[in-house]
Amino acid sequence: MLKKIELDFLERHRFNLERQGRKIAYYFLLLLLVFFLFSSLLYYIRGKNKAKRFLDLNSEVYSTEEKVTKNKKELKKRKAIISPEIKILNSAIERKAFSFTEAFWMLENSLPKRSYITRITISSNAKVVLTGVFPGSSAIKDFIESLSKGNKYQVYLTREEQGKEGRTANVAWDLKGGK
Amino acid sequence: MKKRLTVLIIVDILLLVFIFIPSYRKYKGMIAGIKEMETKKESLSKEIEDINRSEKKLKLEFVKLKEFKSSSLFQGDSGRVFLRSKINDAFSRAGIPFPGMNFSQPSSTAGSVYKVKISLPRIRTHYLKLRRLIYYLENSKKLIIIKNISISREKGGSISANINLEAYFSET
Repeated sequence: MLKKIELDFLERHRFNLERQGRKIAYYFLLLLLVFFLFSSLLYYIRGKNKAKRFLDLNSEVYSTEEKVTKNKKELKKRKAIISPEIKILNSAIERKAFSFTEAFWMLENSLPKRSYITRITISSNAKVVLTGVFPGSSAIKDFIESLSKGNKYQVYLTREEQGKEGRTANVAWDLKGGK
Repeated sequence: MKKRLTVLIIVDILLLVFIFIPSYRKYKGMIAGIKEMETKKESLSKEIEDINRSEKKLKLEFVKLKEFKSSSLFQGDSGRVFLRSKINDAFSRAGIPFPGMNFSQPSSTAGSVYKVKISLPRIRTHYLKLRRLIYYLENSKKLIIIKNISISREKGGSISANINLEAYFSET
């Protein structure tokens, strides 16, 4: 009899515990539901704001891209107009850098005294061809050395030959190198 | 109670799967998209700055070029007459009779700039006078380039020279 009463008590106790557990689980799930609902609403509202910002930025970026492309095209067009002109004028100015007056002056001061020049050709690319009689075997060599002394550019003897009219010396100034 | 619990669990799972996770993903996606757009915008503004800088540089070059063209180049057809008088003037200052000159057709055209070759054939004179002529031609304010000079000695101490020039013109 006592055992039966004990068993009844235990059964009731288990039943009560189960009911309490379910109640706790129920409230926990309810809380979770509220949390999910609230968070979703919050993400939805914030997401909407962000979407607006994203769209604004997108249209801004699109218009900027258009502007960049347009400006680039315009710049290219303008460059295409003036670049060839600048190129041609720069090359002209570069060629004008060679001074014929200076070349004459240098030649006058460097030619051996007993030499007899019959032809001189000077070009703006700093090539000088002298034809004439240069007395002595080392006359041309001495002439080049003397020419090099006062010259701000490197001077080369590019060719030396014996022709009908006399010995020819092809001399070149190195305009780009300088000394 | 058991039934209610089961319903709640199902509702919770449905909420999690169909509402919470998508809205969270969308939100995060938006943030990433905004970041990407902001980076793009920044690089574009840098590009615009570069373009503006290049434009300024180009404008300056353009102004310089315009100034150079008006000060150093011969202008159009009237420039030919001016060039002729310039060369004539150099000859008279050097004391050499003007032998006449040959113009070539314009070449090396680039935009409004073109080059005209001029040959001054058979100039008979003395060396010092020729040197003076070269000096005047070389120091002209306008862009005249002496392309080459060929001098040969003549009988009687005089010399004969051929001079080839290049003059730069700008169309007005």
